[in-house]
Amino acid sequence: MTIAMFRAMFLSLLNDRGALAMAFLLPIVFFLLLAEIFSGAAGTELQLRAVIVDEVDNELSQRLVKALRDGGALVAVGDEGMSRNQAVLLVRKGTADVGLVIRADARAIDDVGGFGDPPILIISDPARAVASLMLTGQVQQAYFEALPDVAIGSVAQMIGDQFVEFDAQQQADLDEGIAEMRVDAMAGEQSGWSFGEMLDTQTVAGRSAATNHVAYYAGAVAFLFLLFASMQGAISLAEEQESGILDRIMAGPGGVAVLVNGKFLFLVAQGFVQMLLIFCVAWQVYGVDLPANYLSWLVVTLVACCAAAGLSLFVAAACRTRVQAQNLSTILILILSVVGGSMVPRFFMPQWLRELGWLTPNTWAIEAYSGIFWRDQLLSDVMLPCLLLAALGTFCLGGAQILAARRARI
Amino acid sequence: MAITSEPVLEIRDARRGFAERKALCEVSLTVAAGEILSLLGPNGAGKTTLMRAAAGRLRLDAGTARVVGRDPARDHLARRALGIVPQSIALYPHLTARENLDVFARLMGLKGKQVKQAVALGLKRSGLADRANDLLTDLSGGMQRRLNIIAATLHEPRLLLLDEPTVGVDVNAREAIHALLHDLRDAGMGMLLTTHDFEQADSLADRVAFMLDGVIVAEGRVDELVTSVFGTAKELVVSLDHPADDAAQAVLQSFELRPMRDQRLWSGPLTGGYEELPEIEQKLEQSGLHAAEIRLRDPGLNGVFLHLTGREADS
Repeated sequence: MTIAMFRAMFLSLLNDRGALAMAFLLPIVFFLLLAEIFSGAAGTELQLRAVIVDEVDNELSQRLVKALRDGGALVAVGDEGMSRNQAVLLVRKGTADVGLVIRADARAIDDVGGFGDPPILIISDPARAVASLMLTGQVQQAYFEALPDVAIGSVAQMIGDQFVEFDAQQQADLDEGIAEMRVDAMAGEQSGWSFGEMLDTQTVAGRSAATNHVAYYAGAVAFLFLLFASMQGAISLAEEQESGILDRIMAGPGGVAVLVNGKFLFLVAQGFVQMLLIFCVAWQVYGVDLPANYLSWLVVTLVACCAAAGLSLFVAAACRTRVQAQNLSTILILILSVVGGSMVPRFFMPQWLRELGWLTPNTWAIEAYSGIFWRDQLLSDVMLPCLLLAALGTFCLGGAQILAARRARI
Repeated sequence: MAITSEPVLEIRDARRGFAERKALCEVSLTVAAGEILSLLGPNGAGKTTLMRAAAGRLRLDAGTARVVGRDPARDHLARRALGIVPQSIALYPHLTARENLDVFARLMGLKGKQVKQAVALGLKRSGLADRANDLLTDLSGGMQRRLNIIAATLHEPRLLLLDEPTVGVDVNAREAIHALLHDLRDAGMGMLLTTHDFEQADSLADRVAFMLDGVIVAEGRVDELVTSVFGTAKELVVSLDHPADDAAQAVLQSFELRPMRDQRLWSGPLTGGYEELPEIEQKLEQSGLHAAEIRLRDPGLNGVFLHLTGREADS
């Protein structure tokens, strides 16, 4: 009899092409979109769109602008020879993320300790404050790489002024060395001064570092749609109550257990197929290593599906009408998904919100999937979120049965 | 008609209250195998509450409900002997007629060959064998109603509970449903059905029970009930232009007429037949009453209910 209920849900889905597409096609499209959007934001391919205005237009400023343009970290937008006001307009319109002006009305670029306004102005939109910080870093790097003679000359001048006075020979050697640096820099050769040489990077990611964020979104988006599909399926419980199917089934020998268990099984199966499709796409398109972790994935996916199915049935059983169930489940999914990290990555969130996320099944599922595919953890390492998901599914399933039985009797 | 003496439903002294309201007051009734009992009464009379008690879906404050001698609230054998036809179409809209019957046969505990046989019989009984593979939403309202009924009979229940089984269908579809229900009755199924439609009860039911304010005010065969109120008399119906005032009411009551609606429509038995009509009309005119219509008709359940309760069924 439980299988009969499963069959009713299955055939209903199969005969409804719209619902079929919603259940299995939309999640993949959504995942691909989010993966593309956020992998750019979180990954290494992020390029700033910057408008650069060189009001000075001398040899030094040209060198700096060329270094910025050739650095590869930003995309120059706007025409050469633009005015400062035009640059401000481009940033305000969002055509450029940030603007940079080498000012004619300030002290010169090589006048490090002098008086007057700073020679470089960054035009920033508060909505994209991080862009100005990134550009500041790019300018510092370009300054040291493209104008090493200016940098060394300024430091030497400060040492001469404040610490040790150079004698004539020393000063001559210094001037000669700085002149050589200038020639090298103008020729585009590295002249021994690059801040990049001070830095090295060690990644703490797993085997497939390039696909880490995709693995995050596969888990996050998959669980979001798992909740959507499960809630949609579970709402049929309220529909069946309204249409009288519940009355009919309650009069049968199986009673409410058949109804709730049959739906639970179907929702778990439907969710499993959804998750499989999304992770297969993540594997084929982005190289998320599903085959190497299939056993851990299987366990996490099953408990995630149980949690989503149980929670959805509990919500549906707690509501008196279809409309009530629809509204409540939509609100619940949105809150759980926002706080839990399905919509906005958890690593973008403030600390208190990350901690709050641990109250949501989304976070448990995301942490479990991230553990497997991102941090190369074993199944035993992600046992806590798995147990939490399994416990939620079990308790909610029991609760749904009690509520549905109570609803069916007056 | 295939009525046997064995009751498939027996309700004794059932009482149930909701807050201050008494939904059932010492209600007793029985339905025999092969018998259709129609529950008639206005909204809020207690019909649905009684049906729920019969289905074991409601705890009685006192009294008992038994299906084939067992408690439907506790005994799965009692529920196995029960089929429920809700008022709305309690079927899956995205399933075909055959798929719906298949699902409900399995939900009622049938397996393997039993399912196939039950589905085939159900399609045949409902006259939908040639539409078996159509989605429910592609069937007409009448077809959906027939399928709604048949879905409750796949496990061959001894008792069928039907809530307004013909609501919202046209005359032809209603006739087809009546024929289906008579077939099921003739196959030995006992039925308890609720309806507002006195004409339907008249043509469909073997017995009727009038409910009002949680009480069964009269119960019996249709012809017996009519005879008990009207004897051999016809029913006189007087339709007035405007509500009768006190003086007019006295005149109308002198003819043993009772008001049906807004003091405009009056009804009562008339033993004398058509010969009395001119005299009645004359007396009404003399009393200053203008009757828009005076007619005689064969008395029916509506008139019985009016005279037993002083109310119309849909009031």
